[in-house]
Amino acid sequence: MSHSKIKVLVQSNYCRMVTGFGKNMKNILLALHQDPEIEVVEAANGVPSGRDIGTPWESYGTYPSDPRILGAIEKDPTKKRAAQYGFYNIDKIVEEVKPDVFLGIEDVWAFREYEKKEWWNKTKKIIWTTLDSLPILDQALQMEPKCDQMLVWASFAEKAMKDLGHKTVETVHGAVDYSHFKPLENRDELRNLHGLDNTFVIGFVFKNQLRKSVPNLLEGFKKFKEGNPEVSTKLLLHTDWGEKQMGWDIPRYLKEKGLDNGEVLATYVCHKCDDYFVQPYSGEDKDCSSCGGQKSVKTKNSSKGVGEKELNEIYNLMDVYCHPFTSGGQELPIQEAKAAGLITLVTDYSCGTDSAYEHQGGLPLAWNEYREPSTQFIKATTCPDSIHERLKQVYTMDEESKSRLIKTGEQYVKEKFSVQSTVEKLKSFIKTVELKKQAKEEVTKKEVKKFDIEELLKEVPLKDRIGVILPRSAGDVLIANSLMENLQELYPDKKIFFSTNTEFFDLINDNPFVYKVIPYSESFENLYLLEGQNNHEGLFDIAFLPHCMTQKTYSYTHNGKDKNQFKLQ
Amino acid sequence: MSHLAEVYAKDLGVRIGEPVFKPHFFPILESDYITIHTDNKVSSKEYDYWEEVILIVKKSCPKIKFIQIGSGKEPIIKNADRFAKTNSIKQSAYIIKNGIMHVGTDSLPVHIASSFKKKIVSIYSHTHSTTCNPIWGNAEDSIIIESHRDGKKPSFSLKENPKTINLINPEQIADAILKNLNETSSGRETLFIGNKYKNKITHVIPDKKYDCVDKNIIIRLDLLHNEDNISHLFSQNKVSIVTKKILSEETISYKNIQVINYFSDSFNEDFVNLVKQKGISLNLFCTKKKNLSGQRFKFFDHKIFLFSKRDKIKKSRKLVDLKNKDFKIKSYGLYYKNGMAHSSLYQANEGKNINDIFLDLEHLMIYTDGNE
Repeated sequence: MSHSKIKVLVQSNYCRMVTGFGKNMKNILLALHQDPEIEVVEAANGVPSGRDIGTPWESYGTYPSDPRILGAIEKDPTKKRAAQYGFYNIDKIVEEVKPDVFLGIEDVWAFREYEKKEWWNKTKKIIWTTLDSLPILDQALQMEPKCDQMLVWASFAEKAMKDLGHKTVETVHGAVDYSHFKPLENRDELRNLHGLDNTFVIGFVFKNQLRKSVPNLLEGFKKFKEGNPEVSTKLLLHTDWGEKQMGWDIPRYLKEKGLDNGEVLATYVCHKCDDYFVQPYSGEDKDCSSCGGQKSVKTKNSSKGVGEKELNEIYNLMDVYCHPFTSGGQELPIQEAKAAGLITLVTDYSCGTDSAYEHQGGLPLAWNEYREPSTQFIKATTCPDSIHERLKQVYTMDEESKSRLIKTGEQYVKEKFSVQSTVEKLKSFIKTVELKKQAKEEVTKKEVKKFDIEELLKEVPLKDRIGVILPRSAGDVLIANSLMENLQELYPDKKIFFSTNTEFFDLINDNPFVYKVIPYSESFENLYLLEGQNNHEGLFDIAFLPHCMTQKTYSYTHNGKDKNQFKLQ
Repeated sequence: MSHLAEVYAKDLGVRIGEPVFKPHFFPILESDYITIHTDNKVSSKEYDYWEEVILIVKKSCPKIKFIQIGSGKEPIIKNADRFAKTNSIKQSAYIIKNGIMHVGTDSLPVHIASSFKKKIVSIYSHTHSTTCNPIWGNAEDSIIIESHRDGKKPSFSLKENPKTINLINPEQIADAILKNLNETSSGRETLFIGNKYKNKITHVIPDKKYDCVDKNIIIRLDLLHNEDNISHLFSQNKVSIVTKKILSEETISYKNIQVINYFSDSFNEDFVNLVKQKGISLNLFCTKKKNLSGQRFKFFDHKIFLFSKRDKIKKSRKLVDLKNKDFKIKSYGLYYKNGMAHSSLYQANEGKNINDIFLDLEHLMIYTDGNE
């Protein structure tokens, strides 16, 4: 490897993930890898560290593999999220790779506290982030001066940042490899194959998230159907229908809107042979009629979708593409649809302003403002009437106008969103970035639940109670058993209550010095609850939590070398 | 020392005494038995070679009995005389109390045996043994074996991969048991145990048609490419194929092919696509390092791993020195070749090429037997 190459460490979703960031990563890395002036290294979010992830370039997973770290983050959603963004492993990767430039491509909160990292001030860094709502997130405003260059995916975010005095922010759209997306010559044949001939197909390609306005689209589709009963029409939703926790329960909404299941189609993909099928939704894990795979057919999800050739075929099954959403970073499917020769109907808020208008090959969907309750950001709720009107507009549009609008869209994507134009812009930023400086931290708190055990304790006055709390494990309880006689001797006037998980009762309940064995509760981890605080009298006169050093903080091992000046046995 | 008992005693401000714990009767007909216990609740404590330990001890003391204790959820220890599955720890305690010795991983039965002042052999790895070893009874009756962990400190992890407890050789434990029985040591020396030693894999080198039924088999076309002798294997087995050449469409049309491992320095695109169309998992191994990046670029949607036979042998040679040693090999694997089943590739090839051992090393146990 020549020393004159610029070594760029790019951190984002793993390049094989079927997400907007993942696809962008793939397109960017494939292009940068071929650039003779750049040596690219991938830091892949969402992939465990220590694995060969099989990329043509050097690559590292950023998710922790160390069971201790995994154990520590498992119960803390904030830490888990940070781990998914590579927070705990990126330092090691930077140390090993020693990049000339760090290019971080994620939501801006993914880089929280990166400025505190040792390498931050020693490395040129570009943060290329999606900002999707107004007012601009504080984290973005704070991050901008701390990186050498901030890039945003949508021009509306650039404008908003500049209005707030952050003049150097620039827009670089996410890279769309439109070479896979084009109008197909055998489009009619393909539609025939899927039983969609003589049908006006409205399509939406999306990850099933609540910010995609599925109920609005279903309502707009319903209005279109009711307003145009003579039109044979279907709605094709290429999405993860099975995702009901973080996304829409689409079958439920179909029922609610009174839509026939046959009028709304899903795409299925076989996880074994990659073949895809278009049909009404009938659940997940179906058998594959193509390769015979059992339970291998599912609707797409973030780990498995259709290939790009097949996705282009799916776009080619559509007559119009409709993308209503509350806000978004770029929404790659809009550009893919344009490249595939579709007129795009897009909510003209957030990144939608980069693709909703006629000069961009689109038609805007009207929306109303609402405030997202948790964040108070401005979000758009797309008007179903507007969806209906625009669908009708496209359906009744003469061929010449339609063709002109489609060509405009295709050309617009080539100019503004192509991998080539994005990579050229990125390269110029990579070459010109300069160092800047800055530095911060936060702690999470645990809630303590209340627990009522008065019933179990009431026969002994509080002043006479000693509590020994040892939730687990078997060996520890047996060891603690051996201390009870001496504890009773030390406090002859008190009664010992021993608290442990019920499965360990057998290991202590023969001991005559224990007054009562009681079930353990997590609330016992709070000494103030046990011994009292302010107006709360507590549950015990004295409470011991001997496991705190051995099971909670693990602070007793000392390499097995520490000594006592007194005899304990 | 920072023993758990001391930490708890210091916290409560008292001295360590004796536990009060009453066993419950459990019918045992044997006398002169050793209780043995393995724990699978914490994977890093679970030792994989107990059966070998028992084998070595029984060679010197054929009459001694090993009774495995536990709830029945634990993995069965092969070569133990029986598994006394009990309903409670108090019943297990009864069996321990009436035995002559207890052997096992760091777990409750070790502490129970200690409270009954029994002889003990216990093993440790993921934590310092001094923090949790048996605390009651005579110190000289307890033999504590701690893994050398390759010189590393304990992981304190519930899961390890590979498990450092397995770095304790079976004869270390067996010799400790023999010492507690006042017997001389076995003289056995384990030279190497592979991480996949216990994997039961059947390899078929198709020089003939072999009858294999209901097995997970690997057809080794990389060792002999003969597709004529394999067609009968697909109907009643789960089959993996290792190949250096492309396969006929007829072969890859058979059912039950789980995976094809394809080794090449330049993969055949048509074959790769055909395998994918058939819905068969495909692993690609590039055999030339300088081609790796190019092949990964060309087949971007497939994961491609680097494989170098020379590097594998070189790496394996560093793990075990077999020069001038009268070694023996054990394995859970089977290789069908020359009309017979062999326990290793080395034996299948009539012991002609020592490199066969190094290629297969992770599946083998290699040892010398001092008493023979």
